[in-house]
Amino acid sequence: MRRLDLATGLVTAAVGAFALYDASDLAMFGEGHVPSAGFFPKILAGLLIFLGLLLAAMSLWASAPIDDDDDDVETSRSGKIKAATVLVVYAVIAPLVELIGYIPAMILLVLVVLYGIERRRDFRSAIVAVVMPLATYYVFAHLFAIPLPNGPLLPA
Amino acid sequence: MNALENLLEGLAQAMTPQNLLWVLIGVTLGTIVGILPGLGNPAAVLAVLLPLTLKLPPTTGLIMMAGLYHGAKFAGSTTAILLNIPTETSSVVLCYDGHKLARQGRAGPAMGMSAISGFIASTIGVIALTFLAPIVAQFAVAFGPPEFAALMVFGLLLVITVTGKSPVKGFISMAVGLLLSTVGVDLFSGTERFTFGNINLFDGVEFLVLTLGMFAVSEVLINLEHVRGKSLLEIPKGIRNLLPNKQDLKECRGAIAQGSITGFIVGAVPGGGSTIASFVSYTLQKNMSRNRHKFGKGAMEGVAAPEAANNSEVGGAMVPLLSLGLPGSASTAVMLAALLLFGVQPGPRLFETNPEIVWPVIASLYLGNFALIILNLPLIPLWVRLLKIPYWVLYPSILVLAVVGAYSVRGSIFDIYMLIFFSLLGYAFRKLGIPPTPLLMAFVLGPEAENAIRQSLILSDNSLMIFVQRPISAIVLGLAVLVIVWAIYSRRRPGALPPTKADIQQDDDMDELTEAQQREAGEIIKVDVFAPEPSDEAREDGRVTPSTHSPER
Repeated sequence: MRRLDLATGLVTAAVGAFALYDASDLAMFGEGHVPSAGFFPKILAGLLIFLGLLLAAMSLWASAPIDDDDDDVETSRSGKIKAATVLVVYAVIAPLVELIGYIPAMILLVLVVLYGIERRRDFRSAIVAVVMPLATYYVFAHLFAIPLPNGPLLPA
Repeated sequence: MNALENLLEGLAQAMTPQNLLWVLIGVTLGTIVGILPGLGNPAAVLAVLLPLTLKLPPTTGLIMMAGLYHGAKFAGSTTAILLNIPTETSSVVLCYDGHKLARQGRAGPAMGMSAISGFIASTIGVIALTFLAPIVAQFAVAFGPPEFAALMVFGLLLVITVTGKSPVKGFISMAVGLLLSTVGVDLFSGTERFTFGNINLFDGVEFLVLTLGMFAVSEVLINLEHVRGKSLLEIPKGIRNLLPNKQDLKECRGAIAQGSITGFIVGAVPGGGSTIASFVSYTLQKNMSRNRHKFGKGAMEGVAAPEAANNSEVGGAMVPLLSLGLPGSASTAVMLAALLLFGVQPGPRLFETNPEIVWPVIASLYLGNFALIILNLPLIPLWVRLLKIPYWVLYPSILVLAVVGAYSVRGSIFDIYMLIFFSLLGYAFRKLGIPPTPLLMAFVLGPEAENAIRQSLILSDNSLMIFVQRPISAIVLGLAVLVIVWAIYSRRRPGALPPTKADIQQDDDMDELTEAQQREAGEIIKVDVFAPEPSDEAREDGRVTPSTHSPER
């Protein structure tokens, strides 16, 4: 955890530095010496750099790791791989909503998660994969009139 | 006619069979709609269902609105406690202790406490509104940018008291949240900040997208590392285990009283809002409580105090709305719109010109909460049963709801990309031990804090002394310093160290005693979701016995 804190601190400082760089064109003070658009962002970016370096320094000098994780549960390697896989699948399929339509994309998402990751290849999984997207489509698109993309596969 | 007589007459006008029916419908609709991501914010629920209320007579319509509002609030606490997903800003704080209680098999008592403390606080809020409105209105008018800035800084500095073992990580989370709140076009100068030329970021980052990613999806990912297809949480059997017991109510008396007062005062400040009310109340209670070591680990007071503040804030927020025509929050802004649509002009003379509208409206706030406790308290066992849904069904549903919730904000695919980004960020935060809640709090309070600070510095010609020269601002900042000093002192004093293994073992022994007592009263279905799966070898050798609950396949 100490090495992780060191990396976290350095990354935080780097994010702060990037924010400071991006905000460099913004004026701290405007006409009449009033706080302008850059006032808050630059102060916050500086604060992030300071906090990041502080965390990194504390990780180097602390005798005990700074562990804020209250969960005493040990996570298995397979659990972490599962979580990472779900995230990747989500990142790939969710944006397909506009390409192929909400219902097909969500059916595909649930099918990949249940059949591919959970390995529950049974009728119940198929029912969940179809019912959940259809139910949410009905509630949001029809009951609350929130337009959801139909895509090329379904009629408009 | 004095205020009490007016209130009683208002109650009499409000409590017709038709009005009672519509307030029950309002509570039900508000709860159902409030559960849904994308519509969980009470302001959004009111906005979506406002057309329904306009079809009714004015008094009935406003009474139904009160029901909708309370229903949406309850929905927010429901999802926060059961699923660690806050669908509205004021229920973020409930994720600290409410969800921890749910993980300990006390979801029902937590939800019951939320409803009961809300009911009591709402009663106190309505009584205070009735008698104190003119006095509090004068106090609210005295709030200018420096006072408001001090209040926001107070709220943000309180982060240190709820950041767990590492204040530095808590402040990092807060700073990231503040930085995210600056994304978009600056209101003062019209300059783009951190938009990278992307038009979708001109209005900034959407709160709902950030919440869904940082809390809903990342929570799913964290749970996936442990849960193996079983139900998510422990479900106690027996109705007694599904509601708070006498000990809970006794422990939370002070928290409810404190939350009621805090919520009303903060709510009366235009712009105060239930978010900061609940957060301030939680932090105050944590610092005042005899059981402060339990906060963050499942303290019932950690549910009672913020929920009391959340509900009494409504009474406070009605003060500037009715007496000054100033909406104090998004929800009261929608209520103002409704009042105007009904032809009622809020302002200092409202109590004289439209008493037949005002007093039933005030009475309706109370009725809405009463209807909530009658309707939803018995339904708590039903809500808790939702947790029996196998996790392999629940988590894909959450993923789907997150997508539709994010997309429904603006109908933009960009929000789905942001959802994925915040899901990754939330997951990374959890793995690195950085608490996500300060980020969310800072994100919500950041824009108002920045505006107030900049306005104050404009007023004072960039002199920071304005914050100490004005009495209310000085008092608020002084309170903030006191709370921080107390928080640092209580961290460092002897006995304030994190519990040792012996302490934890003692707590476990106490929990077992409680469980044994519970077993006498009724069975508990124990699902040991965190036990690693025994290997096949171990099973064959007889080194492990079958668990009491077989995994669902």
